[in-house]
Amino acid sequence: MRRRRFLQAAAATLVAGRAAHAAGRATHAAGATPARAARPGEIPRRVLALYKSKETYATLDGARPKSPTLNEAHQAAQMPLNWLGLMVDYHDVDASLPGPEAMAAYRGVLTWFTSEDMDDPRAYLRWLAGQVTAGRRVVIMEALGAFRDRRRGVDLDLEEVSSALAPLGLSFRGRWTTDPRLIEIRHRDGVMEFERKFPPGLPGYFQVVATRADSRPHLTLARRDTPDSASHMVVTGPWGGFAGAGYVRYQAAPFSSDAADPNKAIDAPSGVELYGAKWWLDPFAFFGAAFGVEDWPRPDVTTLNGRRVYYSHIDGDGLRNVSEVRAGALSGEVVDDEILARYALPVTVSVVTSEVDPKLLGSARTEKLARRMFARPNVEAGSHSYAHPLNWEKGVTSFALPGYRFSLAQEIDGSVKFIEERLLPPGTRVRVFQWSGSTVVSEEAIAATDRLGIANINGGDTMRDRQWPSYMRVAPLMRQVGTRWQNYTSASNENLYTRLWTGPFWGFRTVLETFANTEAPRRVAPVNVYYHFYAAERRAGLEALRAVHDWAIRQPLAPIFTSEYLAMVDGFRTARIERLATPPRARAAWRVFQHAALRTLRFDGSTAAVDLGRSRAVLGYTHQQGALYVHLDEAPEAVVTLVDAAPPQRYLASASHRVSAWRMEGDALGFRLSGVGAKSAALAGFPPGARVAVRLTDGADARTVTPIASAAGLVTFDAGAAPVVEVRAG
Amino acid sequence: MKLTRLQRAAFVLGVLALLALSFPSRTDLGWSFIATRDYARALAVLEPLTKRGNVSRDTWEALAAAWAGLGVPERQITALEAAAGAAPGDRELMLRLADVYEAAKDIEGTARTLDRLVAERPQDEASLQRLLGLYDWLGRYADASRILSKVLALDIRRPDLAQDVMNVARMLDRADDAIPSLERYAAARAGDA
Repeated sequence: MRRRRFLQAAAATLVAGRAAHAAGRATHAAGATPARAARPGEIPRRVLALYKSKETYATLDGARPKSPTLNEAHQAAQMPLNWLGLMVDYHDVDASLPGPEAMAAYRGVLTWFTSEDMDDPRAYLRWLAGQVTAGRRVVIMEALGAFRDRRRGVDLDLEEVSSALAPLGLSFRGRWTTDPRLIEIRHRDGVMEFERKFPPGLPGYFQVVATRADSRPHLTLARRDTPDSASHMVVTGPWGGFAGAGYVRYQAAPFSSDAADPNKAIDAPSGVELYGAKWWLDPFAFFGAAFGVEDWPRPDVTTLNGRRVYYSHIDGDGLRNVSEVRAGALSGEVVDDEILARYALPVTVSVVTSEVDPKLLGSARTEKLARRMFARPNVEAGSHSYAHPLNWEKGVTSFALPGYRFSLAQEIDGSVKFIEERLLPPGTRVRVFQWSGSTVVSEEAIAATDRLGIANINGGDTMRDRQWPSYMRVAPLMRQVGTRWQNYTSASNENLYTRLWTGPFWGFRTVLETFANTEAPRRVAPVNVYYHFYAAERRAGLEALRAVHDWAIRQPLAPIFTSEYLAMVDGFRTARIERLATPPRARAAWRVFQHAALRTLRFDGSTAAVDLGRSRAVLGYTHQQGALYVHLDEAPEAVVTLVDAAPPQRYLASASHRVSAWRMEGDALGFRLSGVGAKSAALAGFPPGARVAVRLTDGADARTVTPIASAAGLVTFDAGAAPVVEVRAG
Repeated sequence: MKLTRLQRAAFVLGVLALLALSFPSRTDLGWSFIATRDYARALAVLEPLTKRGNVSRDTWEALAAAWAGLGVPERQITALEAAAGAAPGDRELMLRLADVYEAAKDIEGTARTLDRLVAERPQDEASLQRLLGLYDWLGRYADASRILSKVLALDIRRPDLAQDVMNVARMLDRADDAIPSLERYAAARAGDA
């Protein structure tokens, strides 16, 4: 039934979907987003994370110098900071200290060092104190990083350090204690023991005393045998925050499952998760307090019109692999038949062009298959490169093509050109570039996609399940590469779940645990169904794909194309927020602008309503899991006025698809729903029990449904699967 | 030559016995379907065998492989559990079962399986180490402490493991317990600076 409805709608979707999508490329020319000073009233929402390039970071390839990606702040802190609505830039403190002009753009500084030496620690400490004096927050995770002068080889005096950091009010007093039997907890609050309880033997500590009266300790330790030994190991205040080493994260010991081979720990089934970490402290609460962002609106990319965003993308490799599912069928054909044709969900499909091109590794059959997929109304086009680079830095590719030497121009521009000229229906374009292999790409590579106006994605590998029950494994939205940004996926693909296709091949179905655990208790990620064509090489792999899609189609999601999600991430990067003077009888008012395609603001822990009469460019709102989600329209600027109780007003509570042409006509609401798949919406503000006429117009067809308003005044209705539906209610 | 009725019967039985010995079993047939990735036919052959009594480990393992091929992890695990029941103490089988639990994100199942294994094989250092790591990761400190005592009873030969065990012992507030083992380790590596 679902399939028939979908197929009936297909032809119309093809036209309308492409038209609605036609201008998309221009929205993805984001690239560099230089930090700029906040204007008066504007709230700076950028954080500068410092790292030391002279420290090393452990990777599967061995220790590597720290970088904007390889550092603790990026790996662990950026996700909760992004969730709090903050953008994070990175700076190598071993290279220089940013000047006052550069710092004017920032709300605060985050440090997460693992060593205590620095070339000029005194200058650094003065700089750090100067940030607090200038009104910026300073948040120190684990090591202070400046106790030792690297050039002179001498330690700084503790009193000198404490004196230098007087604006923070942190007094470092040493007294390193490692004997667990001597350490006791004097005070802890709800910020602590977030993802696991403290063990019987507490980690060692040194004494830090928060001397400012406005500081709020979250964890205080002391020695049982020594007076005046209390240490504020985790503390926040109007100056920022501090969380001492040993009490930020639990790090599992990397036991090997093979006593004869210590190095096997990395590769062993248990090895990977045993290298895992969990938060001792609640990073959302801690960073929220430390950066003072508690009541701010958060630009939110997880949600569209109150529904959780769904997007899906297929990496192109394996399209020509022979599948065991059907005699003689290629994996790409199985995906096309069993997934793309059956599920009315949008998918971004990419190909590796050398695998499709009949002159190279492809055939007339693969070319025809690619054309057929790209012609589907629920498919937008992506490129997964030309020769599938495994290592973009070294130019190592999966396929050794005759006479070919790796070049960014061929991998990016060349593959896009091939797809557009040979495979796409007329008038359509490649929308997304999906990084291949290690996905560690250069600034030049991202610049190439930016020049083409194509969004980029891949990397991240989010998991949050019983094996990885930690937000440490939930990726942030993006990583900084020079002055540009690489967008991360919102979930891992089937490669990791099948242990790089060594089995079990049904592994991808457990991605559903991650989808559940990134929705509750807080929505930290969209649903992202991300896989390769070779997922359909095995029957178990196809069954896993079916299970995931069957689940998705039953959920109240907002399905969009990957390029649309990435346009929202662009908006997250550029969005600016200004606190307005609070109007009479209101809680607060905010202005948001330069948010591009981003359509949701989230207020955490808020029971407020939105006064639509005193707001602009707001479609409606809804409350979920203790947060207020506010739905914005397409206008470049919005004003949100929060009140305790909503005045009588009609508004959009939720919608499954993109909403445009929103209008109030007396008591009636009118708007347009567009996108792939079955549509529905919920409108609020009607008299309880009222029968409401909702007229749905889909091309030449029109019908009226008459749902009854719930006790809460909510009217819900299905709007069919046509690509564009005009709605008029009331 | 004229055969008696008894001789004829004995001859027929002998031929049947020879046929039974030289032809593959139903389980072998199931495996052959699995080898050709025809999991549905494998299942059709194997499932009836499990309705009879005295099912062999090999049959259960074949059934597990068929369910794995069809992408039904719950049935694969059930069959592997039955295989483990039919072959108690089989280390390779138990480790495979532990791995499948882990792939299904059932880390408690992994730990439960390994705990059964080390109960039968208290000298299995690798499994003890893995289990200790799992209990530590799960925050099940009482169980970690129980396994730690078994690990400490072994001779810890590798410096990295000695360090890891010491770290866990410290976390469990049982550092003193680890000292004798570490002293043995130090004595064994006296020449190692």
